[in-house]
Amino acid sequence: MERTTNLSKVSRTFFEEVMKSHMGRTLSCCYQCGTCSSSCPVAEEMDIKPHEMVEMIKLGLKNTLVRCKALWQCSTCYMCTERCPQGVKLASLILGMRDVALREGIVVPRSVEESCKNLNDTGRLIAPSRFQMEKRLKLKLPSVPSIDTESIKGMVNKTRVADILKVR
Amino acid sequence: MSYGYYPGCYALARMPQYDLSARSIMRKLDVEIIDMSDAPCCGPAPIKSVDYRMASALSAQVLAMAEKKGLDTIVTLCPECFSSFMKANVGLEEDAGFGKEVKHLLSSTAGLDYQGGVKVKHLLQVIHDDIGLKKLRKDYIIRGFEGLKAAVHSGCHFSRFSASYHPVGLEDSRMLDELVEGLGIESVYWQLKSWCCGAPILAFDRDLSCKLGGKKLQSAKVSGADCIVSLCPYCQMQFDYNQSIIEKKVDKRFTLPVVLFTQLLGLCMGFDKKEVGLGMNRVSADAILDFME
Ligand code: SF4
Ligand code: SF4
Repeated sequence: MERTTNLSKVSRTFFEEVMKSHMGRTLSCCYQCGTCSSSCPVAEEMDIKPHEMVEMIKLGLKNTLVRCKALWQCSTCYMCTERCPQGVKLASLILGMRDVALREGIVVPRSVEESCKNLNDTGRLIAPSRFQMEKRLKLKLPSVPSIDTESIKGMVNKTRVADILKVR
Repeated sequence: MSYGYYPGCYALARMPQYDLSARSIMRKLDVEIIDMSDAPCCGPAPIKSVDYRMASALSAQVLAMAEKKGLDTIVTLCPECFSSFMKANVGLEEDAGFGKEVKHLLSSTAGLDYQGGVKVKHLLQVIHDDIGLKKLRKDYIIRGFEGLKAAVHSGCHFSRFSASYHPVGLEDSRMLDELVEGLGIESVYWQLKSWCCGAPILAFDRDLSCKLGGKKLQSAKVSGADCIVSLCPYCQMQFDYNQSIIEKKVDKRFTLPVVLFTQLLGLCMGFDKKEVGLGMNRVSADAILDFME
């Protein structure tokens, strides 16, 4: 892994891209205190620690970042974000970097594909099975209405979800 | 005043005991609800990982549907839904450019305009703040527990990234602890209390997810707790439905009952075991009934 920086690999555009993204505004305020990493429940398992990720975005080390395991080990628990003294929205940045990794076609975890498919087909991430519907009926709970997915499909077609589902 | 009740997909599709116990207690507490189970997905983390704009447009769609129905507050069971709606509200307001994009995506596909400002509450807040623990104790609670110790787990997506929408932050919120203590239960100190349960990474890294779940269960166990109390369907799933899987993976036995706060509260309001769906929890929670007065 790149622990030293080859400046020729630095991508300014990547840093600027992230900075401009929703949630990226406070990124440059990071002063590398490490609060995020010491609060993170999975940091010890990560190949790149949360505070290193921030520095690496600043250095534009996009190729390493989008390939690191840590991107998908983050549990999106928002502890880093809650505790960062500088207001860096790290958890959301990680979600954003996943998007970049998916866009580059590096990984598409099966579960992400499934979530997108369920959303497109049923309007929910998890739709109740027949068994569950019957269980609800026995409990005298209202049945789960089906969702008009037309607007969802319209949204899907205009966003990156369509690429994941290869419907564009 | 009516609340828009949005139970979320997990409670609807996999955890009827949460929906059941929540509806039972809301009925008894005279919390008026308009059922919003027909509203689409809230735009949670898996969708945020693909397209943050789409995720926010989904959140805004649900909020806009509530707005159209004349509702000013949505009440959720799932902290993931709670946080998605919160973040959409804050994000649309704070980042004007982003807000414009999201609103355009929403209006051009769903034909809905979201004006903003629909409030979002977790059911715990409705009970804790809107009804109030004092009134709850005075008017509704007819029996309590004695000698029961609980490891209280408030769930990340309810208790974090809070500064932007909660004046004092929620990280060290004792909301759930206070409710539980009001039922005569002792909320124990446990070292990993504020840690994530590991459920969100189940789909990406099963081993890591179980490892995290195992650490949490171990921490709760050594604290002397008789049970875990949760308010999140995913945490509940991880600790209860997956407990035996975690036990195998980390080679330990926990046998720790995991109970939803709505089940505990329901029991103390006079509902029986069946009416709060206690039998649907996978690790038998019958042991806690021995502590009932
Ligand atoms: S806590 Fe914030 S300021 Fe400190 S290293 Fe992490 S991102 Fe940077
Ligand atoms: S959100 Fe991710 S990076 Fe941040 S503390 Fe949680 S697991 Fe670690």
